[in-house]
Amino acid sequence: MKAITFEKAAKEVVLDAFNKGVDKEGYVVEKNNPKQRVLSQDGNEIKATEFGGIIAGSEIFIKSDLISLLKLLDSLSP
Amino acid sequence: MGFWDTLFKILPEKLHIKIASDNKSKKIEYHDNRQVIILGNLNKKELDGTKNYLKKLVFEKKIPILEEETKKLFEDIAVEDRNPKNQEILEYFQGKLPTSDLEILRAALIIKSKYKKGEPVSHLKEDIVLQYGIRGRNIANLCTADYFETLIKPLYEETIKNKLPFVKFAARYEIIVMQYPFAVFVSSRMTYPKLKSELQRKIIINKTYGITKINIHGIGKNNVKKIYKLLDELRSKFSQSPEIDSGKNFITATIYF
Repeated sequence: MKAITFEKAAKEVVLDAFNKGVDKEGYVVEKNNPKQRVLSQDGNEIKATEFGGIIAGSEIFIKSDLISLLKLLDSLSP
Repeated sequence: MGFWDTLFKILPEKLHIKIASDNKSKKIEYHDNRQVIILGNLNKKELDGTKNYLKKLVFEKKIPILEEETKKLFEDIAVEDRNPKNQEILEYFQGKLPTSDLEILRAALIIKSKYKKGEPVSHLKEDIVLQYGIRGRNIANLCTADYFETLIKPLYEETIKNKLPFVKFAARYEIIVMQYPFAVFVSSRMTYPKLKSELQRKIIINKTYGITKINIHGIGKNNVKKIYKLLDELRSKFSQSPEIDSGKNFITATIYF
């Protein structure tokens, strides 16, 4: 898969580039509305520790666990 | 060439983002066939510009941005998921197992493939447990120990051969998944006393049904050690010597009683 990559330690900078922050409980939130938690591709809130990246074209935040990546694979399959 | 000229010339898929480097002055390094942007070495204008550029690549050029380990795992999953052996098992059980069990089995088969290559898999098993609970853990255990091919498939075929109703298979499958009386899977969280009591409990259940053997499975040095200690301690209670298939990091011991 062709993708820009980043190391784990750069997660917060990457999130910041997309105007996202992390709240006290560790969830990814909108920087301009910190009460608004960002949803991942499965419709659930996403913790910064689970954040695996952003899919091209739109703001689909993906989780880095096995099950979420399998669902991602299905969603990208023709 | 300046920072911006260099940055804009890099193919997006060769772009890697890092916070720091041993070299405190280099802003872009060539490493492992990638152009690495060292964010910690950029001034504020360069950092803000880089962030905007990343956003543009994702939104306009439609290039995904992925954490490097996530990307690697995703690529591995895509390969293992296409593995013909795994596909054959999934196709066989299609319509025979509940849909959510098939989802678990699909993930468990990927774990099994990676485990057989000697890769660490405990964090992946944990992903299944977090999503599917005890049932997920059990199916992953049964899958990695080949029970879907060696026990559940023959059970289904036996059911069909004897023209028994499907519910018979479903009921026995449910017992296998939730109780697996024929096996003990030793995890790193299972203490030695718990392992011992679990084995003794299963021996009693099996004896009740006239079954005289149990398989004990363990992955990882500590679990292998625990199982050897247990075999040693309970040796006098076995009717014959255990059959052992083991390596540095795994063991399957069949005990008879």
